[in-house]
Amino acid sequence: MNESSLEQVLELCLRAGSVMLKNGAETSRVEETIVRIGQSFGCRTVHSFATPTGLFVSMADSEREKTRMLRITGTSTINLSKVHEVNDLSRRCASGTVTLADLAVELNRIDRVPYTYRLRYQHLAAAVSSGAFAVLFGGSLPEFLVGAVCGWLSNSAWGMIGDRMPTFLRTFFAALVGVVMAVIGVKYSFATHTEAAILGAVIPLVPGVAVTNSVRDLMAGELLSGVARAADAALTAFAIAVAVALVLTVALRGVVIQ
Amino acid sequence: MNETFFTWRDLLLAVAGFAATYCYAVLYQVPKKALVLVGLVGTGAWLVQEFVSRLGVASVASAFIGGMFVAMVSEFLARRVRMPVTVFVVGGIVPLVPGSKAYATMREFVMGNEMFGIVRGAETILIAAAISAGLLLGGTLVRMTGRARSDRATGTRNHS
Repeated sequence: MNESSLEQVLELCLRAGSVMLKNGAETSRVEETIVRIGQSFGCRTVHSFATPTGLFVSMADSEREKTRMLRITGTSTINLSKVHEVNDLSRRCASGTVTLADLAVELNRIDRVPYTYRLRYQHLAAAVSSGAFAVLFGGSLPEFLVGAVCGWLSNSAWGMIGDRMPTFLRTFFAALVGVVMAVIGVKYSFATHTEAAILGAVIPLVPGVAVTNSVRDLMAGELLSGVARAADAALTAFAIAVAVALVLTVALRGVVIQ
Repeated sequence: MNETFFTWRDLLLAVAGFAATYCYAVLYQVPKKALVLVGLVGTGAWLVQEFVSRLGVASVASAFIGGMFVAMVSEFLARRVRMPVTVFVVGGIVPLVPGSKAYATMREFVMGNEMFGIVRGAETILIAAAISAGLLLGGTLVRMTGRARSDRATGTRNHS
């Protein structure tokens, strides 16, 4: 194995790791995948250390050792399909059916696909999911409709704010939009069950991936990222709770002006 | 458990649970092949939690059982269709979210009943913790009983 090919394997491992981390993989899976790719292309020793915001990889063949570090910023979009595809690709590398050039091409392709489901389906999914949860939390048809519209609004607000705000504020404002509209919607429609409409409206913001990854990282003994992601999930949940409390204060007690 | 154990309303709720989980999975761009399975995991989780609590089990314990169900089924499905376990768990735990309890917490605090708010808040946190603990235990149990971790990558490879 010559120097340039070691360099190339290291580069591709970092690419694969960053694609997985950005799209919501647990860090233990990222580390395993990097080690698997490195070993399948002939590196004798591969060590990797991943955290939610950075990636360290060190590789060695019989003569030399190389180490690189990659900073991960802007974890805005979660796409579990990409996680699955990179994971699958690494397994194919290990079975020897993928060459180094193929790997580079495939990684590029996976990274460049913007989303698995078109945007209109995502909007539809946010609406239906929120409406169905409103039913699950005790609503019926009017609550379904109010919840669907407000869930769609809060999901759109979350998407529009983008990376311009830190996660806490982003979730807070998105939840605020949804909850305000839910309260207004319940007031001026046939819907009567405020609780169901509000809970439906905030469902697209619930930190499902953060909770899952936190638990799975703790399971794998990755204490650092496990705790970090638990804190992330708790902060997001807290942001939603504050938004709901704020709106309820105005809705239930009115604005008190001394 | 007054008159009947399973009513038409429950069937409607199960369908709602499926739709909710399915669409939530679309939001996180779960692979197309797995969508229906994720929906079924979510529906199953909701049914398990609901009926366990109807049998008279406390809400924290039923959340724990629900979480354990999600972890075990997800681990099994992930091996069958060769996909990351996360894909199934993310959708599966959403119907277990203690939304009503969290809402009640906020309402009590806003209305000035701090003591009730603290009680509700403690319940909410306990339920969330129970779901996580269930996920942990379920996943670990399945891994223990499954094959040895042969494909688990380690730092060095032994050339034999």
